[in-house]
Amino acid sequence: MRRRRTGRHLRPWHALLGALALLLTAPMLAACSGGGSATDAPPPAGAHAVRHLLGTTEIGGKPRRVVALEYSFVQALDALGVSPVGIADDNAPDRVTQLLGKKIDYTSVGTRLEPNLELVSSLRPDLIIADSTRHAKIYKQLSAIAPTIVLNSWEGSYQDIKDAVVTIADALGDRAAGERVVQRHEKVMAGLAARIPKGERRTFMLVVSTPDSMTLHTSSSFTGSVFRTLGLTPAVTSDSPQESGAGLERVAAVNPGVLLVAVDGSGTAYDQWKDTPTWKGIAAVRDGQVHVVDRNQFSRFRGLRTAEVIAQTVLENVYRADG
Amino acid sequence: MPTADSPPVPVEAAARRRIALGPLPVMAALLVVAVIAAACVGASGLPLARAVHGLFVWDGSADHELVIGVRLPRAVLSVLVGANLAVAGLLAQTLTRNPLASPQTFGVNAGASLAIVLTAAVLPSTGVLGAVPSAFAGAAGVGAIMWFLSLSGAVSAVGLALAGITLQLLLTALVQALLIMSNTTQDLVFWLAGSVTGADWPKVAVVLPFTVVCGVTVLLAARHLGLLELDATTGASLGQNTRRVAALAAALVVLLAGSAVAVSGPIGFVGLIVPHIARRLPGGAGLRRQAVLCLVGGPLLLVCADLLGRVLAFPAELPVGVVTALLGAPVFLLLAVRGRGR
Repeated sequence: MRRRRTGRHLRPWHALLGALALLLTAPMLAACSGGGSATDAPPPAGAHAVRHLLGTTEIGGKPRRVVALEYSFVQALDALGVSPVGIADDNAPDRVTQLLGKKIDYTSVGTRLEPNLELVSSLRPDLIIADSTRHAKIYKQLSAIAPTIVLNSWEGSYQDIKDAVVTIADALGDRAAGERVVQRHEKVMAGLAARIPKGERRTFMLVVSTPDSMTLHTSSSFTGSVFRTLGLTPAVTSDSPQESGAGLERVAAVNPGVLLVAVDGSGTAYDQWKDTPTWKGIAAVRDGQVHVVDRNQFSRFRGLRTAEVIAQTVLENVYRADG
Repeated sequence: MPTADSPPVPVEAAARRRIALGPLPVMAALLVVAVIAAACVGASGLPLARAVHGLFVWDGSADHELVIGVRLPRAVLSVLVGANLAVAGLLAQTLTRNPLASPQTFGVNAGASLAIVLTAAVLPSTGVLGAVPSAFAGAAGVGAIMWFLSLSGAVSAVGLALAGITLQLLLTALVQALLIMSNTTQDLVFWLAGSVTGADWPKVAVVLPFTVVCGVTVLLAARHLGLLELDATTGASLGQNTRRVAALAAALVVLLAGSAVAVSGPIGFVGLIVPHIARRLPGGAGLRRQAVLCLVGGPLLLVCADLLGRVLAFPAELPVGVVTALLGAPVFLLLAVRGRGR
């Protein structure tokens, strides 16, 4: 397996190695090639340093072949006028269309949880954007393929996502563009926040309904911090963004005033609970403030555009104000 | 287990009078206390007095609905699942004359899990409740493999345990593969740890018939099932149709474990340690007594483990399967070490 590092010069080997890699499980792949150093070549002339969560990466020129391993990065790239060549899209291309509100051409590199490194490599990217929770372990392998920056998307708050846009712009060689995009977005959000009536005292919560239980999104989650930006109060205050495995009693105990239920598909806890007296006793249910929302938009995407979509949805559903 | 293996027929009759009570009344009382405690403890922090009021006064108040509609089905489901797993473990251990046997170590739980995850991947909208038939299919598939292996006689007790664990590892790996490949199945992660969070009366209704029918069958057929503990020739010489009785025991294991996994996910260690403890208790001689002890001990363990899971991570909760593993692993190691010294 040590020959893998020199495989770069042996083109005919690539197909064979690719087939081999398919046979190996991902952790084995990681173990075998983990010995290589992340900095094979000296940084090209004109490279600039970009600081990210796992250190500083030298990036040359203006990368245009970008691979994004989380949805939020795709949205950031789109806002910056770059269309990624590869996306870890969980093999669900329709989600990317929904994420951007338009169809783009790209190559899927597999799931966000286990991106296919062979596919990433085959795209010959000049920048890879990875997530700190899911991809920290493969940072070395990714760096061996192309300069890689690691940002917090999976557990990222609204602020993290905004910072990420600026960092990604920096990596693309135009930090100022990122700052402009964020400023423009903040103006839009301020406009939306201004339309929410003053003196809102109810608490807001997003839950993701899964079979048998719900996952509560707290004040430090992306949605929770978007709520706070809008001047709304998240129902659960916590440093960990999500609380999984919540039963009906837990949701009833939180007793949110406005409840957004994210589902994709039926047969989840929401279907199981919605006719029970305990569910009907929740403040949000009594006031008709339970809104079923799209799970992609509210839980999976996390981006500037998504923050605006969330604000619009709240305005339309809770305050009956047209977006 | 020298005392437990004595011929059941004469001893049982004598034992019935001598140790008619044994630890059973204490365990039953503890179980009642545990169930009431489970109905009184929960994320909403309801004061004890109001919870007890809600439990016993059917006034349709919110407290009452919470205790009766949410907490009680969870406690009752824990009782039924605990009974199923413990009795399934006892039967598996008796059938294969293997102290390592349980629905978990024989891969029966994993088989049911794989079938359910597979169903969720192919038909995402069925939910966990709709997955009962597939749970049985998965449990039965693995049960059949293990049964043939044990009947063939070519595999030793240790070999059988290894075969079961191999099967379990293979099936668990397949479950992992499905979780990685399919988006819809990723939601099942909490359930796959073994959880009674989503308990409600419909789920109780799903598992109750299996507990009752299989439990009664075990008690009625205990004399025959108990002979499985002896080797096949001895059983046959005592006039037993060994093959038929073994098939009955295997079917019972599949029904008990399959229905339990369908409603609560693969909860481990209950089926492994409860039968061991039952055998060591006074009055634990003979399969019928062991079965009765399992029918009380399994629920007692599971209700307490679920209570603990809710208290440890309050106001969130740990899946009960994690708690039983945390409790069960050291207990089993202790039993194994002490068993060696005998």
